Amino acid sequence: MADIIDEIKSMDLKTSWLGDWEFEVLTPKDRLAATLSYLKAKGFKAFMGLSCVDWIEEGNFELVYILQSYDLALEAIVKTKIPRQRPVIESMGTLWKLCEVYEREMHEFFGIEFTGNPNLKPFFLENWLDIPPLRKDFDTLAFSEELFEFKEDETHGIKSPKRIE
Amino acid sequence: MVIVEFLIKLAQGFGIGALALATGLLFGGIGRKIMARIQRRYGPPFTQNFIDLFKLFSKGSVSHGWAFDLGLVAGFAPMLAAIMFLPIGPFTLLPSDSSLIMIVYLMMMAYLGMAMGVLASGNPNSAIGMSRALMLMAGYEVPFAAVIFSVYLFSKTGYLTQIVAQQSGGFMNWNIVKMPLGFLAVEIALQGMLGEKPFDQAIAPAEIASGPMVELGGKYLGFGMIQHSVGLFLETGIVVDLFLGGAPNFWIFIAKQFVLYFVVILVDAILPRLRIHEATSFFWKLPLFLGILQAVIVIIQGGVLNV
Amino acid sequence: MSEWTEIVDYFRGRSMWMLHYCTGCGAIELPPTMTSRWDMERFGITPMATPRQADILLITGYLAIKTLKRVVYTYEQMQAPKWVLGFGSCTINGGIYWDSYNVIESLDKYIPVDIYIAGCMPRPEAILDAFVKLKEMVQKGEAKGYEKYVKNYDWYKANQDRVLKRTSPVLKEIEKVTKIG
Repeated sequence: MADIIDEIKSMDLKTSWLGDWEFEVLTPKDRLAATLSYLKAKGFKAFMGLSCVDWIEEGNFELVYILQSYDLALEAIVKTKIPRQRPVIESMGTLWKLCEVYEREMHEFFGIEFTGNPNLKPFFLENWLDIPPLRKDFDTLAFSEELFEFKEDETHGIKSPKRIE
Repeated sequence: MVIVEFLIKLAQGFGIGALALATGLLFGGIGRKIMARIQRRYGPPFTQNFIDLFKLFSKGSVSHGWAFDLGLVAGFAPMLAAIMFLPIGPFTLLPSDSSLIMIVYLMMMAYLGMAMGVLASGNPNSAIGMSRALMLMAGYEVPFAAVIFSVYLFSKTGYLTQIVAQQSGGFMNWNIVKMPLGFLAVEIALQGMLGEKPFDQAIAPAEIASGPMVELGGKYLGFGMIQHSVGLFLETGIVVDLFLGGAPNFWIFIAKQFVLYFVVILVDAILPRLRIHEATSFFWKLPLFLGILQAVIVIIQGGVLNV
Repeated sequence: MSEWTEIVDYFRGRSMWMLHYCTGCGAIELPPTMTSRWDMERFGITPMATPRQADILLITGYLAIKTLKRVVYTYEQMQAPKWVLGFGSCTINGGIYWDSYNVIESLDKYIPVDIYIAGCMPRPEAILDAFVKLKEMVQKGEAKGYEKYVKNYDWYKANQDRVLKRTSPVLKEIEKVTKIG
């Protein structure tokens, strides 16, 4: 099983074991599609998920693709970094159709643009008009206080009746 | 004179209707208690169905037009009408018309009336539930018809009062002893008629949000409850008259009805729900076979013994 | 006339039907309450499938904005008299989601609540205690949340619209609102 790591190292990508059965691969953004299709051809056919980490000090979003191989009993975690100011990346929907659903969620919560994804409509949040909420510069406590907290009897300009009876 | 007789009959009719409703509600309450005890819990009091009916009639209700209102009334009125023809103990309100075919026809009218009312609400769940109920009816009416056919051949009459009279004179004269296979078939058909598991696809609370009752609330649901309770009294009463020999007085009649309902509840507590096409095709296999076998036996017996 | 109301309230209290609508994670405590160990049916309370047939609406836990819209629809489809039970601490003050961007904090501002049940989540004994208390309130004629809703409808509707029908971003001047750096 160690040969998979050696093969990937020979492709000039940084990779290391994270445990007994999972390893991570760090790839630059322009080689992402090639890495994923190489791993898919190697047997990592099951797409488990797509997630994102907001490195606000560096100014990057890090996309994390998790793949699993049933034959080799291994899990591969592929990570890539994209700039935070205008996050654009191509969609991996051609490799796995399920990836398009996860990309829809990433678009809704982080604002990442996936080119080639036919459907990026929001489906968790209804009528959302602020910045994407899982970004680290979104102050969720201030949002909650502004929208949901009711201070005494005068609720945000909506005068409550003298007695609720 | 005719007016006085008519008024007396009218009062007696109201009395019988109220009696049937009260008995049906009481049976329902006792049934809930029995089901609870089978499931090792305490269960509601015996009079819980009366309290439920009272509460339902005190709630507001939402109507969906005149077809909805009319259909709900047309749901329970034929049931009440059918009770006027049923021999209850020694008493029959209208003995000259107590034909079995008439009673079965009135029961079916009740279902169709309710179908009209419920479908007028426009909710797709009620459409699914009603189509299931009618499909189930196509299932259980077939063995029921075969059993009625064999009872007609055996008794050589179609009037319930005469069928009851022929069974008088002791336990060995009851039709259950003379036509046991028919009784078995009708007992299974009764499970379907009452809408108890494994044949409660029409209601199916978790699947189709209680089917026909999905838009009924308040007083309309009260009408539905009246229909169910009166139907309970009527259907068990028919089986008692056909197979268990009627009864010399009213209390023994109710006791016999309760024995039938007790068996229904026991089966209801144990079995899960079948799928609708499985339920309908089941009715066309074993109960229909028993009913036809019974009819064949009756024909052979009649042909050999009565030249 | 008041004797008739007393009789009607007595019967209403002994046969309350609950809508089997599991809005949040507190609903996991409902099946034990309904089944054999803490039998709820002996009080006359059974689960019903649709809002038209039910008397009690149980809001079991947190309410996201998406669910709040549907809960308001459900509440308005039920017929009078009807009662709302707020279940768990998320309906009282937001619970463990008090600082979340998607969960409302105080249920009473959107639909009228008759009884709150504290806990996260309340055990079946607490639920049965609340049902018995609701029964006593109903039989005394004190639980009138549905009349409150009708009389103060403008206020409730204004609160609902503020959350559900926003037209501008909540946090203004977003470029200046940053938590880090």
